[in-house]
Amino acid sequence: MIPREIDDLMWTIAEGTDPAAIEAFGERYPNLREELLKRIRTVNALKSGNRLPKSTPVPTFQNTQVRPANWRLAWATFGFAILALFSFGFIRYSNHSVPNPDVTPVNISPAKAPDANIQFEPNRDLNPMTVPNNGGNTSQNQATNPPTTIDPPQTPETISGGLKTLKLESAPLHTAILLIAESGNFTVTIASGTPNPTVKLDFEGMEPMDMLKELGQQYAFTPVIDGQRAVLIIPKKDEDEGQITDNNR
Amino acid sequence: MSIYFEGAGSFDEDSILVERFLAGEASAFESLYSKYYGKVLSLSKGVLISEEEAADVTQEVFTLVYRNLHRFNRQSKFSTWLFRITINRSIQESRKRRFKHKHVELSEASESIAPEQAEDADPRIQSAMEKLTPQDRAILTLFYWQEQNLQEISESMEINLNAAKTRLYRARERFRIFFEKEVPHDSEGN
Repeated sequence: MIPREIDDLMWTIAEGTDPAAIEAFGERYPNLREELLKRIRTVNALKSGNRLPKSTPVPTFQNTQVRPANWRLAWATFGFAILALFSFGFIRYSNHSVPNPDVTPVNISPAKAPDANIQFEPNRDLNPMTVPNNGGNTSQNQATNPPTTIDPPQTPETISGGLKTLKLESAPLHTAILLIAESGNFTVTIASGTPNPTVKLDFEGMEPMDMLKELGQQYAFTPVIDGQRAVLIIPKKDEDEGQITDNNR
Repeated sequence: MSIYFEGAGSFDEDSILVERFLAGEASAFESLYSKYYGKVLSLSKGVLISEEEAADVTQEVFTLVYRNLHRFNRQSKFSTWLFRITINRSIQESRKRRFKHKHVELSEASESIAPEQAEDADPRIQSAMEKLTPQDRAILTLFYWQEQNLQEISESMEINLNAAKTRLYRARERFRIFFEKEVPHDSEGN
């Protein structure tokens, strides 16, 4: 191991290339003569390492050759990502904040009519404008209570669903009943034997329960309140079948 | 050419060219460009090894200087500021291509060298240089190719004087080890 001071001295001599200094060092440290020669070779190599020609042609300077830095691309990507995120958030917020309108002209294909005997779950978002009129039973409270919970002692005389507008060009009666129930936010059970002719609805500003009653007069069924938010449709057996026509009003 | 303003320090030729360019004289920058193009190319090549990449970096360095010369604070020599930009840009480029592992063929590099220079070229030197880090190559290039002293190197590399001395010693020692492996062992030196 060569001491640092001696090593520094050898590098200094190698840098200077003074023959007298090299000779003096070799006489004083004969065992390090080879090490000194290695450093001289190294310095010579380093000094001759610049292999560029002395007369390097100088190209014309052009102030347009700065390559775009990666950070610019990164910032652009980040900006687009933020923009996309805000756009997505705005669309989601817009869709969520706009209330769904009341049921307006709907065309339902008879082939898509649901089974008349199933329980129909009211759509809680369909009736944001509902105004309660039966003892503080707000639409929100009604929406949070499952409609399948039926408490016979508390059966009300009528079910308020707010004034609705419902127009149908052509639909089976059972489908029309289910749509009315949905707009009124209550469930409906249609008993077997209830007629199912094709009907046309044109109700404006009416309570859904009143719609059912009016339809019942025309198509021979009776809507019976069967719980807080449940209605049972029973066909009239002791009366005439009613005038089964395509127009209800 | 050197002009001395009493109480305001000395201004060398480079400083005058800088002031003229900042005053709107475009030809002053052409003078700086012509004067330093070879040195910047040489320094960049010392770090990058590849002359082609060094030429690209050199153009970028001068473009950066052209656009940012008003930021030169004149606390150091223009050449020191220019070499600092060159080293930083070259090391940055070297890091970018590190993963590419682009090896420059010696024959390819020799094609762009003048015949008289190519005869003197020693592939063992380049081989040893390639094994060093870009930082080691930068300090060796500044010291041996640009013939800067330790004070100038410390300013160009933005390190203190002792750090520059230590780094130069270590870089030179590492080069010696690699170079000795390339050189056939004999007892004669020159």
